[in-house]
Amino acid sequence: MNTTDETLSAFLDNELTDADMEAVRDQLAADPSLADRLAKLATVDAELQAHYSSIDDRPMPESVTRMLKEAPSRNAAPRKDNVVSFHWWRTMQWRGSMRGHAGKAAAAAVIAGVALMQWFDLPLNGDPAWPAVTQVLDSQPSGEDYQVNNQATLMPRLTFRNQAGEWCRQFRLESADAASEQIACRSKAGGWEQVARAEVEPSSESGNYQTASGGNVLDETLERIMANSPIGPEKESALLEQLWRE
Amino acid sequence: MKQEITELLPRLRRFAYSLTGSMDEADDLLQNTAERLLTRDTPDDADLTKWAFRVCRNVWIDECRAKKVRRDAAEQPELTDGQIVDGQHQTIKEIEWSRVDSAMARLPVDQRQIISLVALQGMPYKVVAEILDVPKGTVMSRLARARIALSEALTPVTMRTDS
Repeated sequence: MNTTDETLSAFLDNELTDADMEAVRDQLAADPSLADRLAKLATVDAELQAHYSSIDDRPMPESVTRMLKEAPSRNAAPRKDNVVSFHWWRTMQWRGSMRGHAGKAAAAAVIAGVALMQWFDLPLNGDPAWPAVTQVLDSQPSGEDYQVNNQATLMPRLTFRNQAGEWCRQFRLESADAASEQIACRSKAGGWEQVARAEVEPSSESGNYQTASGGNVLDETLERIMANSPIGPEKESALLEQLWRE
Repeated sequence: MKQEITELLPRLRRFAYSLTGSMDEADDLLQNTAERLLTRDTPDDADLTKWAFRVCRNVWIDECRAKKVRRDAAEQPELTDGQIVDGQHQTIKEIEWSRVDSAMARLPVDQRQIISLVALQGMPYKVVAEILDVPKGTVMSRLARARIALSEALTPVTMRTDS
């Protein structure tokens, strides 16, 4: 296969077929100059992201927020939109390692979202004691697994603010034979309260990708309760360091 | 609807910034986009996110036509954005015509939109094709051209060590 810049560019976005992705990987391994070309193209994305995200540091224009606040509410957009738009920023959130791998989950999330309501009021079967869970939520950054009382692992996935201005986290809790995706919010007094829980398949052998993208089951709930997009790793680590005070 | 638009704002804003190359103009574009989203009906079958980006792009194109000044400026990078628009609220940082902005300004409009939607917004090609109403293959080829042009425009500076 002759690797054109067009192929390399699509490789960067994980937009080639599996076979072509593999072929490019082989070529990259064999040809250092190809790897250099790829790096050059990838640098462009990084530069654009760094440059254009700098507008985030500037407060949102008041005229815009006011206009939205004062606009009459209309019916919510179709459910499917929420899941899809949510999926995009999740992809962005996990872009480094997750590039492209969150792709297949959007359709599943639509179905899972409907089933979710049935699980809402279930008791916390088999979960470790809540204080042990909250200890991890209080102190650990997203994206890694943490042991809870040696009986379960907990992976915080996202940190965001809810409509009431409380900090919330979405996380996965997994014990030997059960797994769940949950959301808990932290009251101003400092206590964590579980606000959503959905049973999911334990992860077994399926590796890292599953754990990073599998939170989609709660996407609809997240869409509803989030005030803003989840915060990034730097902001999250600052928040943890400051013990949730800003 | 309102809430969905509010959640989309930060992303639309980056998109607006990448299209206009100026924070002030980006915020104007954002405002006009939000206004159009709120005042005009969204088609029932539309995906709001795609729709919002499409509206933003259309508003921008309308504004470009109205202000041909921008084009001329893009062709003369030494004429900075800050000198053209009312600089009253601009910070020093913005007044500098950034090398990223000037490289982006030299791209054809369609390439700029595509690279912004893919590289900044992380959108799949299929979605970009739907937003811009072009075939997926076109997205792929224009994106590659944009990446190459930008990498050529940006590399000499990044390789320099004395800057």
